[in-house]
Amino acid sequence: MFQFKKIAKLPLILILCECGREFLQEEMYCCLSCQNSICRYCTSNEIFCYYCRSCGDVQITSEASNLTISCSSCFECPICKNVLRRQVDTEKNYGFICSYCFYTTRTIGVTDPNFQQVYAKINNAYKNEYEAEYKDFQEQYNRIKSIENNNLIIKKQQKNKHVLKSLTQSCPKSDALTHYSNSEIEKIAKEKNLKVIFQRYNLDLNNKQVQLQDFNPIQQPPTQLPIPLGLLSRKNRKCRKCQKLIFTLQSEKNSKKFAYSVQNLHYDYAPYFQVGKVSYVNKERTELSVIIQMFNKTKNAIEYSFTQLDSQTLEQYKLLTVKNLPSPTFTFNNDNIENDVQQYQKFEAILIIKDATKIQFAFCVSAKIKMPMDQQQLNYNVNVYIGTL
Amino acid sequence: MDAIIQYDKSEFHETSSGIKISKKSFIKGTEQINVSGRCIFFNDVILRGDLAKVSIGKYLVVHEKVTLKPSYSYGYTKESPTKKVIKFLPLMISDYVEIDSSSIIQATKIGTCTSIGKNCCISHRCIIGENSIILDDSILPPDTVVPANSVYGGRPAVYIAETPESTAIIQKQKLINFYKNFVPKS
Repeated sequence: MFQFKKIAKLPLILILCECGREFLQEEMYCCLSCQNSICRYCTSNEIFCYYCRSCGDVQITSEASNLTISCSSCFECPICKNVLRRQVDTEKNYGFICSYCFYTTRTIGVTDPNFQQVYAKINNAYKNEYEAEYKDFQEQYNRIKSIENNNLIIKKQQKNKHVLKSLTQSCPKSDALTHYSNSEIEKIAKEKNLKVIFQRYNLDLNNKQVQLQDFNPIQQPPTQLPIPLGLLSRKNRKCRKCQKLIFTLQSEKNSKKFAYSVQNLHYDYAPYFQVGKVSYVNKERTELSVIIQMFNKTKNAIEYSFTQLDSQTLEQYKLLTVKNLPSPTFTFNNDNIENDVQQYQKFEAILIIKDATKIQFAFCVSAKIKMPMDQQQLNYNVNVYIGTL
Repeated sequence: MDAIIQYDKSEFHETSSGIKISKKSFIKGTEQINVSGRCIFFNDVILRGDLAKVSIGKYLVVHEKVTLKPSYSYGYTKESPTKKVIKFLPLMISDYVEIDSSSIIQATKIGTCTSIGKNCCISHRCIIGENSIILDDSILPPDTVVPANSVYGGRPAVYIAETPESTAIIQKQKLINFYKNFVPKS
């Protein structure tokens, strides 16, 4: 999945997930039962439906399991993988053409005045071309397997005797045989048998030299049939710990648009941070002041408070110490929803810089969300990355 | 915090609905162009409204050296039933779209909250879905359909990845802040 962290410009405000990964505030999800903000890797996906990327046909998973995962009406160019479009000749024969590399089905001979019979011709061509090869492959595979099994059965008994003889010769004491069990003897026998088989059939896979002399070579040139277009999938998201739904899609038949019935984004339940001015406090340039603005873009009132991180985590991730974090709790009352004016608050964090090259600091936030029927709580770590010295 | 971009008032026209067009851009056929409002057109932008109708949504940002041209197709008309004639198709650009510099666009439809990179070439009769991203230096062959919530890139452009569910929020915030910070020099 695409990450906006790669495109985003400095200064960055990222949220640390429990798994150790960092994401933008808008990309994080929220699990209210676990009271945590989660990244995409801490969620599990469940396929809701399959859809075609060119015609938009939707196949629900129960139907798609019976069919192959490819569109029945769309095809792909075998050369450039672009989606093919319909073509009409001067003789009014239908076919497919690629608008990028100009590949046509006319060269293969798959054209017909009736467009629906073009699909039937392509399906028949696939069956005729690959059926013979598949049968040959199956016969050779079964033949090799039967030979191996027969040889093993016959020579197992003979080689076990040879193995026992060699072991007795290496170990002067006859009592040493009691240390070797039957399973160990079989292992040694298997290794020797495999070496013989690899030599016989030239299947030395360690050196990656596989000689397919037993298979019939393809005498005719490839026909380059159009490839059926693979389907893409839409997914639901669940929290991995509590298995509760975070994102669910609505099932709307005969419609190509997708809508979410349940969506829990971190953005909808937590204050939004933004970096303001950055300036030095001292003449010696050992202390920086960073103004951080907070916006309440949710529909509910929020009570929030800050705490410092442990000294161990600060040393582990090489973060600067913050001097001026505000200690009491604040309340964000979002009264001006109708006028589309968002409240914001700000605080000034003073950093102590000593022998550091990066300006990066972090703090913990715990937010209580006052929803109309219930109260929820979220705890998460915010990581602010301003740049390099 | 997003950087403030200051411009000379003498170099830009500004309308009552908040459209800011630079005087060095080339716009033709204004009768057939319909813009909702709060759009920014930078230098050397070519917008051909004389060929077909162009309808544009709000919060569109078009950077330097972009050409916006309606697409075409071949077909028969009543006037010429035997010979094929070029027909120009209308161009529709939705809200919250960003088009980066030096790209050529001949699509029929561009969905909401999309971003198109630099040096892109979007050929005729392409349809780009919502919340999608087209990477820099990519060429979309004609008649491609970019589905919603997808990332396309390459030459020819190919499906690469899926975008997260929050792309609409990120794109809207980015363009609203860009418009607010695009301020004349005082």
